[in-house]
Amino acid sequence: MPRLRVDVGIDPYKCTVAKLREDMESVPRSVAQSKIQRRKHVNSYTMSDITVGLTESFETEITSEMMDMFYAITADNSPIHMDAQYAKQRGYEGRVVYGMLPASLFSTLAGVYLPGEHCLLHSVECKFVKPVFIGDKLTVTGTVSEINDTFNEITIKAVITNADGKKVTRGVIKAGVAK
Amino acid sequence: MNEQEIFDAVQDIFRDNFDDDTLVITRETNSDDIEDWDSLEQINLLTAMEKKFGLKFKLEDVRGLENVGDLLDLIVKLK
Repeated sequence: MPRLRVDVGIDPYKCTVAKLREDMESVPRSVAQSKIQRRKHVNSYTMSDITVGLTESFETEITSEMMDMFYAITADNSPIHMDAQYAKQRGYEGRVVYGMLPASLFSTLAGVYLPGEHCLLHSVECKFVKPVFIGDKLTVTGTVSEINDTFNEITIKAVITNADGKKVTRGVIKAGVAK
Repeated sequence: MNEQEIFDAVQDIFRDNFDDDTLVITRETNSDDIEDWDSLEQINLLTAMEKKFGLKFKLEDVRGLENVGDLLDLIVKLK
């Protein structure tokens, strides 16, 4: 069976846990400091602070290094994510970003921004509305849509938009709030 | 809404919540009978019932629930 051309530095055909660990250790610091906004400050909304309509957002840019790191963690080597030529044959402008990569930013949204420190993620439902490509600048926004003060749980409607303002990912996040 | 209609609606909520259209509950069904019925799903079930029946549960109301029958009785009481 012919090998697909793979245009990232990690060889998916030698994927073992030990190899992945080695790959992760070799990820340069510059990659770890990729273009996502990183905040030392974590919000600390409590149930009494939270109202329906409360909104938080942040921005990031998807880089090829993020794709490498996502692959190193998940070992998802589907050619649509790994091979630009293959993706073009499928009608896309380039490698399609893993849907779960922007979706993973919902973890950041809940754990850092809304509610932040007191969050315990209960569930995330995602819809991958449009493809995301390397270089896309994304805005991740969450708005509280429901509050249940019996179970200390909030529902957040989340959306990720690209630089054109088009929705690329939609989500419904349910999060426990510890205080 | 009579008790049978409430029961049918609760059954629909269970089926929807556990993604199982064949799930059949009885008044005796409890969390030992449904593998995925854990504390998180308990919250999901109860919040779905709050929405369906226009209720607001209190923590002390739901703490002592032991089976579907207790839950149905609570819904009838609060409606």
